Amino acid sequence: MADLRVQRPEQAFEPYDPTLGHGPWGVRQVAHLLSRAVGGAKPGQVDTLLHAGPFKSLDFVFQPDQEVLEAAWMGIGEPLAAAQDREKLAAWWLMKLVQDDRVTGSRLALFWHNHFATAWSKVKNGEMMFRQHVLFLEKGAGLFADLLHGIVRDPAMLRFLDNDSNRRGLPNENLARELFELFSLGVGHYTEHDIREAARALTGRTVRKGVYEFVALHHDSKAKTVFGQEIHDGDDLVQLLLSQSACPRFLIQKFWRFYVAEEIQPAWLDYLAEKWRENALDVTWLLRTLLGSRIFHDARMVGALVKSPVDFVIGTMRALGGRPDPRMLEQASARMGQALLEPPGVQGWKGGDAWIHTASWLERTKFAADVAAGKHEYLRKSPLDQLFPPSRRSSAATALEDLLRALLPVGLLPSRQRSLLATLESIQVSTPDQRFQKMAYAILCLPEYHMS
Amino acid sequence: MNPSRREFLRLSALAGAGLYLCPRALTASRNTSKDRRLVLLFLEGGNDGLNTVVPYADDLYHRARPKLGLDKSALIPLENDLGLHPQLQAWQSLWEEGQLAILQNVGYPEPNLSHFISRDIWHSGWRHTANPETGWVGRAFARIKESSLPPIALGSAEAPLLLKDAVSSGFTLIALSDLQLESPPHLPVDTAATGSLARMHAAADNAYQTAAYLRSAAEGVPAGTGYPDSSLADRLRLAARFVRAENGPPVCWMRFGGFDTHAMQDGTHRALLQQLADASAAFLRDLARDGSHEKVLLLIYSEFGRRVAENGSAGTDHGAAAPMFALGGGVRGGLHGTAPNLSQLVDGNLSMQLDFRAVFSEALRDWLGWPTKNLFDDSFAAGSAGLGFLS
Repeated sequence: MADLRVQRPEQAFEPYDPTLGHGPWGVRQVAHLLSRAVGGAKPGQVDTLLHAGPFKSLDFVFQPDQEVLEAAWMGIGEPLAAAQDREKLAAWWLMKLVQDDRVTGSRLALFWHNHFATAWSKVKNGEMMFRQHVLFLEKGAGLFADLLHGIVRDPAMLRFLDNDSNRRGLPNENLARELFELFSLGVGHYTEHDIREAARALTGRTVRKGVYEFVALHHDSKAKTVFGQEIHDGDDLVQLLLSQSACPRFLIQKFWRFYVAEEIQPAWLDYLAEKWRENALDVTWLLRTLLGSRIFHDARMVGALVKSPVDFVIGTMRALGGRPDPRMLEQASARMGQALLEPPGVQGWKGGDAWIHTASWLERTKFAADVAAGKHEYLRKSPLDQLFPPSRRSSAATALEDLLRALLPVGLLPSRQRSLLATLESIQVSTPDQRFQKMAYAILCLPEYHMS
Repeated sequence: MNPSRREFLRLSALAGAGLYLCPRALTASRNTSKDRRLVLLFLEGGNDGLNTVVPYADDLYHRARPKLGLDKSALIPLENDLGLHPQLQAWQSLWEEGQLAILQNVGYPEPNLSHFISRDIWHSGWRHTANPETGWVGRAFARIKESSLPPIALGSAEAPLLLKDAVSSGFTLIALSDLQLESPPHLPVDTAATGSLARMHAAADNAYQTAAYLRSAAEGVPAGTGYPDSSLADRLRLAARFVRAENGPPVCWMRFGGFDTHAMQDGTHRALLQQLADASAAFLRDLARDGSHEKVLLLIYSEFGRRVAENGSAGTDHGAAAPMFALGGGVRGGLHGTAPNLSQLVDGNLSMQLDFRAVFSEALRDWLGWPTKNLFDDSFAAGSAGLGFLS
């Protein structure tokens, strides 16, 4: 229920606690948390977290990485990058997302990849793209300042936005403009003059032999004026951007759209921006606050976000326990409009309603049909039998119940579920397995399934 | 939704239920402006207009562009001391035949130099609306009283704002083969859904129904021939098929990216312009085989031009006004509007002489016969005289 008491920010962002009467801790709440935090529930996870309660569930999704496992993953990814194979590296990332149960790491890297969007086809260097990915893994959950300083020294970014040829005399504005507009403040918080001065401050930051280098000879060392203040180099510029009140506000709105809902209310934004500043713009603090808050579990937030192609693809694999051909996953996501490491431009993927259109819908339907038919090892026989015991597949009602619990644990309106069952019962099938296929296809094509 | 659109959707629902409807069945309810089509081609990133239509005789041009400036000898001569970039060779014969109109210095007041804001201004047609939610093609189509396939975006993995109206995101299509899908078990649309979920329902419903129509519209129309091998050419070949199809979509949109040439511009820009000219010329030549070039207007635009002075990376930063191009059998070929004035720059950028909305208004009103009253915001007042780039 939309609870009007949680309108006030102090209440909205206090920890969600069923013992204080904030609401239940049921399948719906667990499913909502898993969907937003890690891309969806794996078999058995809903039950586990149901028993764990809200606080331990939060600890579960914020667990630190397992170093041995992480090292093994990196050992697979690095050679793919060195072989200059974008598709395989993107497939590697997707498989890691299917596997991981953590908010940070690979999943948070998705957010940063969309924020600091950098395209493989222009950088043309797998090692540099991989190093940027590692920057997101290592600094993505820490202080935003460290990440922002890191990105204006990141070889892939410097090359992508042409700063590798930004020299004194005739500066190149590309990185400077996006640093203001897309990376820290958002439109409307700077002037064209600020951009031209900032471009001068960034002169000399270049890439040599694949690594960052500052070339003093190419740096314009004269004073620059940004926001009426005198600065000298890129570090001064980043510090100045971080100190602007627009900076936490801009970032929080982006996090909100990724983790909570499309629009944040102004009072909530004011409150969060102030608290986040007090907490040194620590990203983990912000994410724990958002995902553990009362407002996160408000009925208005559940099912309010459109799943990206990546979330649709990995969420389906997580739910069904498939061992798919990674390349097929990558191609499916790319055809739906999200080729990882190849965003359409520096603004990243627009997301939200922009994912909803007929071409992407037809691609989603095609993937759903392939999954339901068990193509490309999207499904594996043995885990499926555990998930959906053959004995329960003979009845449409029980089979539907099992399938919905696995694929759409957040639930479907009772009227929609009845109507779905009636539709499915009317379809002629010759075997229970065929019924199961039709059902899986129908569920994966429900508009509700494409919301998170 | 207007009554005729509901009618169309009801007809499509029948098609979805297996009653094959010949596209001719729609002909009776059509009330078209001579079955004309509009194809919109967006050069994404900000095309360098000055190196596309080059004022080669202007000293200021060569002074601003010591590395990137193009010499007269290399250019394709037009008139008034202007020349086309050498890689636009394929346009020369179109120019000579009067099938190429160049609209000079197009833009909008108080140019915004952000790609994304500027693109949204071009696509919403609104100068001062933050985060616009509808596009001028979407709004214009929602007003017309005829049944027809909706405007369609080709080859795009994102729905352009341009085609959006209050309820629909328009139709997007990547490849014809995507239309060959077996629909999932049909469940009624949840009419109580709101927001994004309602859009998702509409997209799903619309997808199966329109797919069936598009498939039947394209069936029986042969794929065009004589196209070069490029993704842009593939999109235009698909557009040609829909142009030829009876009752095809009235508007096709596509993007062609890569024009954000901040560094080492010369080679990139050459390659892009070559692809552009070769693919678009092939499109018109293909259509001309059966006279279909007479029913198509191809408009080419970009979100802005580039800075007059080159930067230190042998590239150019974001700028303002730039030329638009109109191609097809129905244009009045030649130069329209005034040539760029390099002696009166604003912050180093060319100032606009012609509002892009005047061009689009004329295309909708005089080419498609669609009403354009109050389609754009108050910052633009359409002149009734027209620009005269259509014959």
